[in-house]
Amino acid sequence: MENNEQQHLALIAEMIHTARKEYNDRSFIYLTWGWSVCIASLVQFILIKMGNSYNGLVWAILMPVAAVVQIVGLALKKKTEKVCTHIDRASGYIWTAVGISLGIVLFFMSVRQMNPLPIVIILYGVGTYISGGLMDLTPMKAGGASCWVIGAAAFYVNNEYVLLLLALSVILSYIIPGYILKSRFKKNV
Amino acid sequence: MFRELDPVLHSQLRLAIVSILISVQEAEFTFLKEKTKATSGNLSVQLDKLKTEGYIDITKSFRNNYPLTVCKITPRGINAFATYVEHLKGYINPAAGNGSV
Repeated sequence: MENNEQQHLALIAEMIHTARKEYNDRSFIYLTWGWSVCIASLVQFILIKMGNSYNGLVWAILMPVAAVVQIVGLALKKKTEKVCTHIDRASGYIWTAVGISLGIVLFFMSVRQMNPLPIVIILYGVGTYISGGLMDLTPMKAGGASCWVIGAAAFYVNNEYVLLLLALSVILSYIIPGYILKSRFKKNV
Repeated sequence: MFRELDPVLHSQLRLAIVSILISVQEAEFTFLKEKTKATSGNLSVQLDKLKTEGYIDITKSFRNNYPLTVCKITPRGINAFATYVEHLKGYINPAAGNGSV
């Protein structure tokens, strides 16, 4: 009898262990936003150095494109996903909170003619550090933590050079972990 | 003293289903089939049994013209699972099952 009960406990442990490790592949979101922000910051930096007065236009083009890619990509992915895990749900809440915070910071700091980018970098750190922790992805946690250091440094740097720090922050917290996450899923398929 | 184990959960497949559903937000029939390695027929029967007992909720719809069955554990199912595990521990370590850890 006891042996049978032990088998049942082992079955519970096995099933929980299997399901707990599940979460859906969202690497394309990190890569989409990572590359968009990285390219936009570098292009704007170059345009500023060239004295181009329309240097901010690149953001107005790339950000809506990234948003559309994310919305369409997510809708297509959800059509094929078989499970919604607690990690997926928690990630959704975290990135909604970070996204709203980013929107508030970008809008009001720009209106008050303050540079929002140091705060933006710090918020990237919050989102990626928590997501990395949930997915047990150390490079993303490290990338998130590096955003806090870069964000703090950005308060002491001239406005145009903050763009370079922004590009560095997304390379460390979005792009590199995004590719690692993507390869993790490819290996599991 | 051994406490009676919930007969609904004291079946390998039903226990496996509930253990998975307690670890995720919700899961599709195909996901449960893949993880439990059960046949479609057997899985359907056990899911119906769990639904009848109020341990899980089943939502049926269509996706791309194919039937889509999504399962989610209920608060009653969570309680039943917690009690089952507690009683089960009593069989292996009687001191734990009697409430003393």
